[in-house]
Amino acid sequence: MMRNISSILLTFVFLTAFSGCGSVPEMAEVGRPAPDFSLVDRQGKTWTLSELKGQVVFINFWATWCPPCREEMPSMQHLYTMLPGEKFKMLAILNKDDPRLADSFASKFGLSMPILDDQSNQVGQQYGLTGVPETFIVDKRGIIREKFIGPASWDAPGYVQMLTKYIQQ
Amino acid sequence: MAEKRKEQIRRAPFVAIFVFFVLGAVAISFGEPSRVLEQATQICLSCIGIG
Amino acid sequence: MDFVRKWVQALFFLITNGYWNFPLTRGIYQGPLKVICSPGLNCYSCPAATTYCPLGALQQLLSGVRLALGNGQIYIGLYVISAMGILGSFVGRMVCGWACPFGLFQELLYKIPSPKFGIWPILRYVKYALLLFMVILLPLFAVDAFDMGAPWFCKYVCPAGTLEAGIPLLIMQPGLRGNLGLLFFNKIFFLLLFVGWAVVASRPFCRTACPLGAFYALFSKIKLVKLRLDSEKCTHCEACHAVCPMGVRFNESPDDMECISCLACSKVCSVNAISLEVGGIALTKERPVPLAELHPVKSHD
Repeated sequence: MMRNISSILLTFVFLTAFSGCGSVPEMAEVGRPAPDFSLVDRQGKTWTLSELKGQVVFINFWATWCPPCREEMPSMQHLYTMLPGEKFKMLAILNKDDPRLADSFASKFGLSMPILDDQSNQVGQQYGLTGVPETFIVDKRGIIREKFIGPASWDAPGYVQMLTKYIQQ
Repeated sequence: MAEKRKEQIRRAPFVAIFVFFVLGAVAISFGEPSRVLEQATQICLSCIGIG
Repeated sequence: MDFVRKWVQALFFLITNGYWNFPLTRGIYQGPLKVICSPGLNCYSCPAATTYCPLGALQQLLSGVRLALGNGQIYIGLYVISAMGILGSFVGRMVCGWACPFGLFQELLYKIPSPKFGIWPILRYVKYALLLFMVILLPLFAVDAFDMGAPWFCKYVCPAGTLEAGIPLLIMQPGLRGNLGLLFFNKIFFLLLFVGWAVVASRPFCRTACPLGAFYALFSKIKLVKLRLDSEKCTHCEACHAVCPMGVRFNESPDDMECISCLACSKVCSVNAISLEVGGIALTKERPVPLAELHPVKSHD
């Protein structure tokens, strides 16, 4: 009798534990204004999102220990050099990782885009990160237009066209 | 039948526990726990089969 | 005793998965408790997980060891190995029987009525190979262009990660579904394989594939808390064989690396030849055995 009760209870615990369904809206959503933030990059420059209105902003959250984040970095770097710098900004936000590791990673692989330090995960939380990598495209009016969870080959024609479209809007 | 089995304390487990505690103390002095925390609090999507 | 064990298992399940706010945040717990090691296999990308998985953390540290050392940071996995070693030296694979959520999950699956089968004993060595290659050597040496390895076991095998992290996150974050590829189907394959197998055989993942169990098994002889066989009392009735969830023949190998100290054998031993000991001192009170019971008796569960 007691054993049966405990089995039923345990099954219930499992069922509730493995079914996570909720319906609370995320803070950063496609079609809505991008949450504003101010972060300092590794050169000491402060970047404030709201000051970048009029430009398309590519926000990428990453960490050095994450294999897919590393894999997409060369294509991001290539994309960064392809698009006009006065109309397009790329911000690589280092999420909860040691900035010194990011520095040596960047110098080793010739990354020139600004790497912003978000060790406290404050911006990561604002954007409701699921994991890393995660990328947001913010248009000239400061509206999030695209959200990508997981890595991509950013220098592929499709992405370049998409970004060019937003830049020309 | 009676008490012929002597209850002798085994030393090996205590030696092992001590060694691993020392190892842990060394790791803490290197700051490794903060690294573990950084990695454990963020999801690596490809590591769980997504992406 | 099995009743007590079930509740200890449930307790550990809840302690290591104590974050119940995840349906609202749609993410994982990110607090400071995650600096504590989960004794059993419990994915730290599980939305409810409150502790880190030693296997996951070890693979991550080993795969980034070059970059860290290049920066003068000695992050070589000592912290994780220390936690696993302390657990191993205290209780060894008792963790598997009492504190591992994935072990509990398999035990519950085994309760589903079906024909039951044994497991080919040779397969037990697969887990040591997985520990050596997928958890240690490949993350350490199979490096990419960035001089970094990958967490091979998590990425390609771990069914606990798929069950506890992959599937819940896909439910909570529909945006992730676009990323599903071969990697995911490979992991789903292993999950279905072990779930199906666990219905028809007892604890197949623990017995054949768990690298964490393999690590704890290395402590089978030196661990503080273990089972002891009183060979003078043992009548070799083999009642302990049939009840062992791990396929151990306790009277033949009392320090077996497969033993998870679940005490199922001590319960059925009619002559009280199996007791729990701590550091050499028997813990279970020796009950006087009535003469009538000194002969083999048929066991019942």
